[in-house]
Amino acid sequence: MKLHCIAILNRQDSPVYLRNFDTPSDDVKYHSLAYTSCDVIEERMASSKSNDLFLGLLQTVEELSVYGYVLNTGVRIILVLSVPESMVRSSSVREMFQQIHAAYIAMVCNPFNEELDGLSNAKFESIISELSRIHSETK
Amino acid sequence: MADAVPEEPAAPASSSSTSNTASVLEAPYTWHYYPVLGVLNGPTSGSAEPATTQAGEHKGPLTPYARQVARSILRYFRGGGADASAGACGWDSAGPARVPRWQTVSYERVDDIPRRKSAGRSGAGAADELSPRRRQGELGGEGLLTPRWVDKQQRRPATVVSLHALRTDDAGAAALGDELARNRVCLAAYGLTYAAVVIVSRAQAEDAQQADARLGAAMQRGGLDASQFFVCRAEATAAAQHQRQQQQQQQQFYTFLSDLERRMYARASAYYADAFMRTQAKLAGIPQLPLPSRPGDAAAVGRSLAAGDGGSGEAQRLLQDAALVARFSRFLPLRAWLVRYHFKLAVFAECGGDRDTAQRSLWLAYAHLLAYVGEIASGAYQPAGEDPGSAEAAGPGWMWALSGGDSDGSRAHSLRMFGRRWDEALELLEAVHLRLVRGWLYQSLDAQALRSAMQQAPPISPVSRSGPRAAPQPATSAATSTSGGANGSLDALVLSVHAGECTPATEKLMEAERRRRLDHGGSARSDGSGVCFVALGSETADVDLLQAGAGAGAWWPLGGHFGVVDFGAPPARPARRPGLVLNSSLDASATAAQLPAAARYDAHLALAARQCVEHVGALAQALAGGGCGDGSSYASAALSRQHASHAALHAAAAASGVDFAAAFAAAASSPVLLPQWMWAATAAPMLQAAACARMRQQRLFAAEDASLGARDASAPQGASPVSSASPGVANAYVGAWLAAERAAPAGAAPDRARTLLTAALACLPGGSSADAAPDALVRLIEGAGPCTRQRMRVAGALADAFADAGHASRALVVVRALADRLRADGWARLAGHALQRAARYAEAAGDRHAAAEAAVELLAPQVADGGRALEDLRELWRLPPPAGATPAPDAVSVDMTRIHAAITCHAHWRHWRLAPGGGAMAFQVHLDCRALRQPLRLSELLVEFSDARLDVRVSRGAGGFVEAGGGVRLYDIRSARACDLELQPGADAVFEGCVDVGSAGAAPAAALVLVRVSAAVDGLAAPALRLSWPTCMSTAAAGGPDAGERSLGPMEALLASSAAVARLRDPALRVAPSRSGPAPQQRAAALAGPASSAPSSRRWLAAPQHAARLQARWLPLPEPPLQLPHADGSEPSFSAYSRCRVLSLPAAPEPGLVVTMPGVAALAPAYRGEALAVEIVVRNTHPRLPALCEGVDVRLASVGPADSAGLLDVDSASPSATPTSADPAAGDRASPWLSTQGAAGCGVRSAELLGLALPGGARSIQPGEERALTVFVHFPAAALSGACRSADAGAAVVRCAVRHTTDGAGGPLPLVASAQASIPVARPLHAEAEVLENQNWTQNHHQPLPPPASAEFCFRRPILVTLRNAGPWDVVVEQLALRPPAADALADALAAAGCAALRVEIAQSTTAEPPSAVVLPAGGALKHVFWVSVHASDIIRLPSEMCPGVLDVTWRRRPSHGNGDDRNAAGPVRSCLWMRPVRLVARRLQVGSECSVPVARVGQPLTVCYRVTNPTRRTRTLDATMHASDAFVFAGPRRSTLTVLPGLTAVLRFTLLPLSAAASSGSAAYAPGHAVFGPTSTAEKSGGNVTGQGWVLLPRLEIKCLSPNPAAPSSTNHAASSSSSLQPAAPPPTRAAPSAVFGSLPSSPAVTGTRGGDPAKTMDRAQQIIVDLAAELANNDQAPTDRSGAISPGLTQQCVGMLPACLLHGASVTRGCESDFETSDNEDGDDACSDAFAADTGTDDGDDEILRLDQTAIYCLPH
Repeated sequence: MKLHCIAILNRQDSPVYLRNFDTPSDDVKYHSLAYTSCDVIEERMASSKSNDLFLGLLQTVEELSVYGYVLNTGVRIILVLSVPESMVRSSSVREMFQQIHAAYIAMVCNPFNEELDGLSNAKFESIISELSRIHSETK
Repeated sequence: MADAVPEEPAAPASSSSTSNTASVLEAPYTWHYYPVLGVLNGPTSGSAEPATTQAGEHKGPLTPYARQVARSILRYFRGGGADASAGACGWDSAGPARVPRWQTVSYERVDDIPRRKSAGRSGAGAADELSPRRRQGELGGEGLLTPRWVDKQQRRPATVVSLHALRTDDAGAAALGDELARNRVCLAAYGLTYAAVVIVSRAQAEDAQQADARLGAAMQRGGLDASQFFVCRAEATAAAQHQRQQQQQQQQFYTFLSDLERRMYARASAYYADAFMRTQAKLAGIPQLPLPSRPGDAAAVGRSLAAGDGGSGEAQRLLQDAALVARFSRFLPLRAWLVRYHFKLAVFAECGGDRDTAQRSLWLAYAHLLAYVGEIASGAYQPAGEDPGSAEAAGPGWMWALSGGDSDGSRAHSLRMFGRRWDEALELLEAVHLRLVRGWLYQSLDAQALRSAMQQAPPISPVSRSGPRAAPQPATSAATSTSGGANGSLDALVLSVHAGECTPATEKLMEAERRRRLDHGGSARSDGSGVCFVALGSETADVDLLQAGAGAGAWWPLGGHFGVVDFGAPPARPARRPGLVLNSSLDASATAAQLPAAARYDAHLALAARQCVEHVGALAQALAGGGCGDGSSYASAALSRQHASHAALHAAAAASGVDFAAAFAAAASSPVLLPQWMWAATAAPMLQAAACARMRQQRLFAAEDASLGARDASAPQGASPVSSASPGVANAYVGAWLAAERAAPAGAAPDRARTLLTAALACLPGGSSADAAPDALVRLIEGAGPCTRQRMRVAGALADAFADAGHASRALVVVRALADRLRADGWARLAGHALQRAARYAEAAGDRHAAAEAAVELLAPQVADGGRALEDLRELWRLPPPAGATPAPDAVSVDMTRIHAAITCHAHWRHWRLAPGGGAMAFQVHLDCRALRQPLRLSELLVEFSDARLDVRVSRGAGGFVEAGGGVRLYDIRSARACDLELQPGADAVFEGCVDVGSAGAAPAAALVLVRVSAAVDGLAAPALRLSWPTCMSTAAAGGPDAGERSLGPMEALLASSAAVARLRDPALRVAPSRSGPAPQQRAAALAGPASSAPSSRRWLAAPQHAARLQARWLPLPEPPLQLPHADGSEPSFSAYSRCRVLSLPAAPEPGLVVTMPGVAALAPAYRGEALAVEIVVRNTHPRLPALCEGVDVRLASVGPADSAGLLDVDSASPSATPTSADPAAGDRASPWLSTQGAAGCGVRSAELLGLALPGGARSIQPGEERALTVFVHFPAAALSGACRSADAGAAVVRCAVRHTTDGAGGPLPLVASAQASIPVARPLHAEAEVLENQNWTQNHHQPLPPPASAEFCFRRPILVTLRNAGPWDVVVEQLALRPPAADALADALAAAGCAALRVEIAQSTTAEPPSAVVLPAGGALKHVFWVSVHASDIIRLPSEMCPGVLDVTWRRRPSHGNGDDRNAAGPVRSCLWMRPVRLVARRLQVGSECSVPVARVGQPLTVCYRVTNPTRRTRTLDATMHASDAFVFAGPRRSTLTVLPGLTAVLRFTLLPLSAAASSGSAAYAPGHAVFGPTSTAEKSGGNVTGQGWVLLPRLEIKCLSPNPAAPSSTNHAASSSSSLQPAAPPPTRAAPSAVFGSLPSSPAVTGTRGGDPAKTMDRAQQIIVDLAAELANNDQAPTDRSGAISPGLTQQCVGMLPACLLHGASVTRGCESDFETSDNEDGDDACSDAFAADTGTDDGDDEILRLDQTAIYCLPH
């Protein structure tokens, strides 16, 4: 399972953070994946009545799989993974989301964080980088 | 076979690999395979011959009735309908619902029926022409499989039925018997089973006995038994008279058909089972090759074989058999044989009705075929002659052996890609793939049907390993061992449930499955022992079972189906889990591919989805192994074909009710995820992917074609283009593909792509196929609803398709709308991507404006990160416009507020309102270039205003800026119009200029608006590119379609949110939110970036110059009001965005005269008593017209308490100074007045001056001319004022009106220009008086007192007067004098009050010279000491507090103060300040001494006289003791007792003889209160430094009060203790008076009220006294008669406290008061004022206190 992209959208479906772990030329592709995933997210949120934040698999494009996660505040977290042919436990993907969620909460709630609009916190970046390092290769 | 007449239309021939989806789906490979039934004498057999239909005459074997019956029979065999052709399509909507179905083939004769292949005929020599073993056959000895084989199998009957009509005669019956016998014999020889159906007509049926006889004869003659001979009687089909009979007959007919079909199907099954077994036997003889884990991974297969761990080792053993390998690999590789046989097995199994086996065989065929394709592409099969062990060989050497050792070069060559076999393989691969998917979909439908049938079934109880378990059964162990054989890890996970051990629901399920298998001819036994249900408990739900299959060496999960049940749900809700167990297979595949899922999970759909997804990837991987990677056109073509076929399958399945979205949702909620299972909910993504691949293929093909063409041109003649390589394709044989593609008709690909995209749009919710037009696409993009973004994605692809087709303008429309929407949604990077395409399309379409707009926006870093945006922009400008493009305009303007701009602009006025009369206003234009990545040079900067005459245009020059620090450049464009206009990245450029509104004439509007800032980019040829920043909402709105309702641009929304988010709802702003998308502030927040931060939008760069360094800092701009009237006064033009861009102008002067009083502010406040010069300036501001001044009217009005300035205005009190009645302050006689002269007292005292003429003579004032007129405002001072400081808040308002006329359109127009100014008034001076204490004044002020004989007491006190200046201006005190209050008027008043003996004088001779011309600064004080002598004949009635007098001050404002204006310093002002009373004489014993000579001389006697005065009303007894002294001898009573009566003075006189003139030790001392009177000039002049002389202390005299007198003095005591000579004539004391008589506070009203007198009379008396005093001071003998208006009651109240009580209350009141004698005893001890006088008396009322009059020194000269 390789992590290709992490995107955080606000509740208006606008990107506030998007990091591409592949080549910069893939930026548009991952932006497009995140953007079109908003349709699926809206549909899932409208149809789902459970309190589970994890939305599961949103769409698959070629070898890429897009997973979604919605915070209680409406912030969306999107992961773009390439999953091997073996099955993937949803708990592992859910754990990745929870780690990002925790990092996001820690950054937002930090009273010394001056970046209120963008997500350019160093600690947050380090957590994301560590996450990408862990999931840097397809297993 | 030519005589065979198939019922179904013939399938098309084999298609090429480039065939489209429809052709693939219609290929014979994708048909539904049914058992084939041969029909002899069918209903159409005769019709094929022309004779059969001649005039309806029957010449065939069947009668018309029999033909009709035969048709019914065949229709039943075909599945109940006439749509037998449906079997030819790829998807049967009916699906497998009706089983079995038959493929019927009619034959004319029995000889036409093909013979069945016997099992022993296999071999190379007897090979069929469709076999690869036959070199002369269709396959040419090397083909894999041809569709003709399928066609042959579908036309070769498994069993034959013949239809006959019973003849009406016996001969006919015999002939029928013969025919039946012939058929039986022939078909038996062919190996086919046979059955005959004889149709008995109605006429024959009527004679049943005869018919039976004939039938029996025919059966006997034909040699058929009952199982082969069927009779269809006519009565069974005859119309009955009753409905019930008809139904019964129909039922009987179907019973007959069912029986016939069952028998036929049993025979067909046996036939196909035999074929299956024969094929399987062949397959068993072939060495089995393992499947690679990845397609094309031939090396993995080799390793697996070498290690022997991939299988049982049998394959490796077989491969060692060279003869075996050679036998099979002679014509085909072993892999190809495996594919061939597995496919055959699938066909036979499907025809036999075993769909499970067929599906499994299909999967094996697919797996081997995909491996085969991969091996071909990877070059595993090398041509002959090459060394298999060479490094260039792509595959392992062992594969070479498998490919046939005796192959020649040509055959091996065809094994390469793009050969014939390659196409066959791909065609077959896609067909098998689709068959697999379709099979799973059908099984899904089966499952759905079963679930729906089990809806009413009782719930299944949880069964798991941990739960109660039934006794183990053999089937359980069998299933467990089977699963364990595949993977040991599955043993613990699979729970087998045997029939009969579970709940009745399970039994019901098993029964349903058993019945189904029996219907299919399966082998399940009726007792159910052959059925195994595999279920997984909840503990296994999260286990990756597919790993088991992968671990077993398979890269693909084994096909098959199985049941999965999730027992994790609580049993309380069992109804939510209907239809759980679906597995019904004993196959080994069931143990290798268990799929965990939820109850509603459809594993078949998941398998189908996964099959589709992985097929694409696997094929792409296989192609990539052959060199056709992602960058080749062939790979794109393959992808396009795959996606299109999947989309077609998806659409067909959806039309049949297969819900892929359900599988989607179920899989998404599964705890174990396998994304490859996912299939899109709609076919749109597949269609879009197909279209995109198609377009990509075309582009790549064009590139490859161009590259090959260029290479061929450079290559030598004769070189084959086939051997050329193309970019991205390593395989040389791709040239063949390219050549084929080149031959295809051009232009079809874009249309095909658009067709696919249009279909994709129609598949999406909210879209339709009619939305493919650009306008409709724009509406789709701008709209909302579900799947909006996916529609946008398809629309973007359609735009690309438009562009590829050459419709760049149409593509541009779509892409620009796409960019707008993405920009509004906050997806800057996607918007940038759209902009890049827009720039490209605009360039192709010749739209320079659109291209420029896109290119400029691409400069922004948040849009694109390319650093060549500026170069691209310049390159774009250098390109010539395409032919046919619209003519370019003169300038291309780009609105920077509507796009993501790299440069943001903020323009502000310094103040939001222009002061009246002010002409210039500064503004700043702030270009924020922090987001700029490259220097940008501008050629011009233009700041536009609402008045075009004021526009500021700055051109490019040199310099003109200063570095203001912090990366800010400050440009001064107030006067300079050229500066260096190169914007630096990361820096700010601030242009500060100013606009002189007055210089351009009167502004026509009430507001001057900063409309726009624009800049021209330098270095671009025509047309000019101007970057425009509209800075006004109305201006920005003007560019939109609707000014009132237009949406906010990104920057506008940003600024609006930062400035006044909460005010956006104000309807006056006319700001409407966007029609779609988030709210403006949300959009603004999304767009917030470093270059457009909110704080920078409303700030001003202040740059003070300190020393040599410029220190600039940003200051917040003042907040203007939200609304100001519009330019035309109608509506507010303010918005949250432009609130600092509108300058409110003062009302325009009409016609132009402006009156100002500029100097008033500099001179205010005015001082009481001075004349303030007010300069009135009249200026004609009209640009053209002169004004004719008719006169200047100046009016004055006073405001505030003017009467508090003084006690009395003597001038106003005079009858001649009556104010005018027009003045509202006429009643106030202290009101200011006007004059034209500055000298006080000159001119007419009036509150208005009318008709003044302007200086300069002429009345006409030319445009721009200025005249000044000075008038004086006199502020009258009071003749007598209070010395204390008062809160003077008065003011005077000067109103000036200039009456003038100007030439208007209708003649002279009378107008009035006016102005007013308020002048506050202040009284600057006030004074305080106090008695100096502890001053060594006795030696400095010697003045002989009057002799005592005059019966007058005299006291002398030093009074310190402090004069303070409380005004803001400096004052020059020219003269200062203290005038005693005992003037005549006061003396008379005192006399009337019984105090005639009192007299206060200023000791002029002893005072120092009063100050003159002293500058008293503002806030400063001037101090001076005056000596006051108090003379009183009656010391008992002497007031202890006396008014020291009136301070007469002559002063003037200091000239040249402040601004140098000394116009108000001319006239001195005299102010008389009435001082507050001070305590001059204490009511205590007063002791004074007097020396007869001023200077003593040794040896000469002198007389010292001590006078003890008793001013109290008590008799004092004193003990006086004279002490001896070394310097003197004295003569007189050494000790004596004195009794001093009240009001009298006792005298002690001593005669002293100085003995020594030596100075006493210590300094000269004196006794306080003991004055040594005498001429001091002699002593002082003689000096004290002469030897033998000096100050000598006199002998000390002690005076001590003896025994106290009675506390309450009585007349008796007075009489007893007083001497008659000193008996005073004191008035009898009374006790009714209060203590204070003079010490009352000035402002206390109780003074007059508590005295018991009439307050009105008291006030009247006080007024009279004050008026008299004032008149006396003013030297005006004529006392005013009308005192009521002279002073106000408030002033009277203030001054009452400054008058002695005797003056206020008269003699009668004074006489009625108690004497001070009595009060002194009570007050001396605690009166603070009395304490100050204790030193004077030297004694107090204490009885034992000693008054020491000692150490008084006298200057003594030696003898």
